[in-house]
Amino acid sequence: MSNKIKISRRKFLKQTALASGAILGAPYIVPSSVLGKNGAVVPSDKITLGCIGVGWQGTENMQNFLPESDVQVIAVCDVDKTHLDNARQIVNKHYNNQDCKTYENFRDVLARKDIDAVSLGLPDHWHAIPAIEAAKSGKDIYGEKPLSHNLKEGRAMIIAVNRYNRIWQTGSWQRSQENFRFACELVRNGRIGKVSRVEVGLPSGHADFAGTKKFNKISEPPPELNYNTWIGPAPYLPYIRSRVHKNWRWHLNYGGGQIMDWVGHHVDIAHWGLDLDNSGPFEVSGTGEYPTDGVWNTATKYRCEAKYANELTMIIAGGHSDVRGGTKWIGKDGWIWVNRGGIDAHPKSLLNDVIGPEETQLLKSPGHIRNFLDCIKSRRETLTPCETAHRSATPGHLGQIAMLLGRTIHFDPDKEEIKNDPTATAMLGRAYRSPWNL
Amino acid sequence: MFQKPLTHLISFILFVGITFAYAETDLDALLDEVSKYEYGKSRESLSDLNKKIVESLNLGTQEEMEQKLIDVLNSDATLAAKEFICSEISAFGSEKAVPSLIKLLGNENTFNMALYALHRMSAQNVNQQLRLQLPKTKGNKHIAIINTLGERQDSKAVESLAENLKSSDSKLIIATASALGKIAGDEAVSALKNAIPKTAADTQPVLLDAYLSCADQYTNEPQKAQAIYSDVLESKYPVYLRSAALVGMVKTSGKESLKTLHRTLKEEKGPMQSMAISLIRELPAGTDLSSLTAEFSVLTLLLKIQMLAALTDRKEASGRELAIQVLDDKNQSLRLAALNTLAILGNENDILLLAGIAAKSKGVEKESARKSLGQLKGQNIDQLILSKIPESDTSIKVELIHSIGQRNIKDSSDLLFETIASEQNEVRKESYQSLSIVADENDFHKIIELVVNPEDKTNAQRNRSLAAKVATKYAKSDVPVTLISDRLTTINDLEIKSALLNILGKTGNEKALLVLRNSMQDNNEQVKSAAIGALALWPDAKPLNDLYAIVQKGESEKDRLAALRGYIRIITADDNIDWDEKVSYYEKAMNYADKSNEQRMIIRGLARIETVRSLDLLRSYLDREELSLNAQLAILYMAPETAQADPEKTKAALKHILDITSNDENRHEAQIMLDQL
Repeated sequence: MSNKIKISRRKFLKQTALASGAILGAPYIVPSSVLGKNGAVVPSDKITLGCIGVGWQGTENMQNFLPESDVQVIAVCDVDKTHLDNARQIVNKHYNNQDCKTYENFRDVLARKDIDAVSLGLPDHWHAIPAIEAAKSGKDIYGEKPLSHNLKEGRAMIIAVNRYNRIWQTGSWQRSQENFRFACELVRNGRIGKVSRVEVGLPSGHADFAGTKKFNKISEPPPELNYNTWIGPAPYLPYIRSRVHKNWRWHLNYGGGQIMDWVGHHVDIAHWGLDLDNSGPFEVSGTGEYPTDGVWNTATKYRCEAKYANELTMIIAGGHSDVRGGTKWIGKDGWIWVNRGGIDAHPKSLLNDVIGPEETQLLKSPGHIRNFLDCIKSRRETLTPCETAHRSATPGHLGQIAMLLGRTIHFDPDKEEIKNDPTATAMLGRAYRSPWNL
Repeated sequence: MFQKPLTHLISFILFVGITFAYAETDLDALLDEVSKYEYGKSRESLSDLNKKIVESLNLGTQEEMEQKLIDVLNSDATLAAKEFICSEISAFGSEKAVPSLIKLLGNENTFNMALYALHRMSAQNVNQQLRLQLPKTKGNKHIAIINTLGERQDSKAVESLAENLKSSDSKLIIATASALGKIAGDEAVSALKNAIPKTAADTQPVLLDAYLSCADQYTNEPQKAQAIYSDVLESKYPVYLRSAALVGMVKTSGKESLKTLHRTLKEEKGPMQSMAISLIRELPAGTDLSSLTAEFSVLTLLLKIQMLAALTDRKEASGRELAIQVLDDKNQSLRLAALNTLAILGNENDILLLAGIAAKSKGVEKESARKSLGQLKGQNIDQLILSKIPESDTSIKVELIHSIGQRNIKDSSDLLFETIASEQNEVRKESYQSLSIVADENDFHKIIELVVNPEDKTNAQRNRSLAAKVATKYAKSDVPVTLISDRLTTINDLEIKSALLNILGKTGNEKALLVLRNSMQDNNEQVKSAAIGALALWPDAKPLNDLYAIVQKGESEKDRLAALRGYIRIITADDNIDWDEKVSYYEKAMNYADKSNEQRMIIRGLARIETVRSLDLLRSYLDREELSLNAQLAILYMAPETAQADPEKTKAALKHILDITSNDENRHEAQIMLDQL
């Protein structure tokens, strides 16, 4: 969806007062600065931020950082000059100066010793390398979901982030919303009894986010785009406009389709409610409908079943009407369903419950970006650290392999190994196009 | 006897043979087609071949399939076809495929696709063959093979790779170091250790990272790992690398690293101190941290906050003492950090302390103190809070009562029924708030008594609100409804009767619905109106028909309007109503909506549905002057969604806006969307 269209939607929400508090987000309860007085921060005490990847999501994230008074965005980086110019203008307009520097090569941003943290807003196939390099450069990192394009990359990212003890926040922002947190607290505290099934309903099909679906023929890349670097570590394919900006997610070389676009949200919430942030399924099966022709090749309709310890089954489905969009935990004594802007339960009275002081209380987020910034200062773990994001993506990665191979995958979640299936094992990672390397 | 089965068997063999021959021919034809595939052309043949490959894998017949794919690789098939075959064979290729893939490495155009396949394959001879390619390749290809050997953790490659560390080519050094870091082991460590002091400044961090990576992999030999960490930690290398060494040291040395952390905290600056504090979390449970906490008072503000956070995360009792020390600090951020610490580490002695801070502070600090009081853990906390309320000053009392609701303290309703009668308004207000949370159905008779016999007018509204909240909370129970129904039959005061009906309306209870329907037949107009008003508050679609009948035939304008608003509100709120049905309901409602508020409510509801049907209906409003502007906004709002389902209708609606709008912004946005569609 273009920014313009989003503006229309926002304008409508504003003018007709449709928006609820849940949509707009709760006010922060933590001050914008740990160091400052009355929220004001002297420039030298600000967290300096470089934004790598400033297309669609990257620019949104950057714009969410800008109002924070203890952050200074000082660098933007993209392989598309149009994105870069746009981002620079936004930053400079916000600060009313011309100080923001632009870069095409992310390594130049990471080499800057005056940058404390980076926000990565890149296509999935570009998640791992800059994240690992950022960790090695001692930067704290805000990254997007799904954590990685494949499972092996995810583990490599965790190793790097842990080795350098960096603060990592994933853009699984639903954890910062009141309704999702409350739903998870209810599940965690046994309000619906032992949970035997969790249903995760995700979108289906291919949305033409960039409005480029019709540009489906090979052509020369536009001069403003460094296409070779955009492809980066992924296998090379000639430029087709509908496969690049925003719609890259519909091609398996660069993204993982709806399932991988969304596991970092609703599976993430399913795991959070079940305290599975450090675990995963032992068996995954699935079926998917993949387009047999055209530019896009990710599944348009899919259903995966993941089995976890303690007789828990997770259904992840897109395009199946029996699975309601969002996350629904089904327990012995009832169910809880949550989605953006909504929460429901059976029995309904659960929604009036208060989580007591002796019960499990999950972090009340001051906002997802704010939580990241606070954790940079306190050196606490964020709401969605790297390991958590990796575990949220794992059922999607395995589901994808199960769907592509048409068979059940047996997985050891501790060793992160597929059992007795070399073909499926090979699909846990992939080679990078030279000279790229993890 | 045997004739028939034998005939069957022969027929079966013939059938299978013919089928196989057909399948064989089909596959060959398919492979022929795939061999001619060019980028950008139809992928149908690739999809078909992929299906056949998956079938063969699941049937265990991939050997034959593999040979056919190898034949394509060895043929003059197009590059696009070979790229596809390499991708497929990468998942299951055997030793048999290696020579053909190695051959493809020799061609500039097929190098990457061949390495992609070899990289993934588990065949035994891949590493050996790749090693043989090292002397034959240069530049990016050479580096790519080193990368793959590293990823495959080929320990036999270490010896030849180590030589590269002496090169002057920084790209080669970086790739080699990275590979050695992944392969790890004594030989790799030795090569890296020797090279680190000699390498250039720009490659040194990569070698150090590889060195640390080797240490991380000495999981069963912690002394070897610690020697590496110590090497880096005691050096003058950049802080982020020394920090990483400190991380490794603490993770492998446990309690033994306490001294290292203490020394770092005392002797180093900023980032290293920060890392040392952060790593307190990694120390084994039960470690005596007094040497570290003794440094608290001399730490900078940020480091103090970090130490409080680390001690809180570890649930160290010493954190509580430090937090109390800084509750009066002049910096608010530190005070807030201390309050957050007390939420987790505080005990019964902190009840009045936290209530006092909440009472005297404002804004975020008040909220933090309240949150901490609400989270204090301990068996006696709830009882202590209740016991301190009667004896406390007003401001403290307010905070303690507030915490009853936050903590959902059981058996507190008796006390709250007393404090809602307090002379202090703040106490009364907070008591009502907490009572609405903790009261249950057993308290309902008392609550109804308050509604029926309010002490004064100020409390009358609070009593009704309290009754509504509790009745809604226990909507499934018949207790509140029965109590209210009984009272309705005995009460004559119309205002109270209306209030009771209003409470019933919010419950959604089946019996309450019957009561309201009966009340709609009451002879008294005020009671009738109150029942209609109550139905308009109903939480689901059950009374939709009742309300619509009033919208159509209600006797008073006031009742018709109340019913219409309730009708629209319910349609919007009840997610169980089918979307198409919602559109029909809204359409019906619009026929009776002659005020702008209701019209806007309907359009807002339609916009949220975002279906083609709702788009159609909204479009029909574009030409009605009083509805047009809101309908335009609604269409612009939903167009991105409806465009997925029906681009043509969406385009038509956007064009319609262009035709009729006098609003420049709407025209502009409609045009942009049309351009994008």
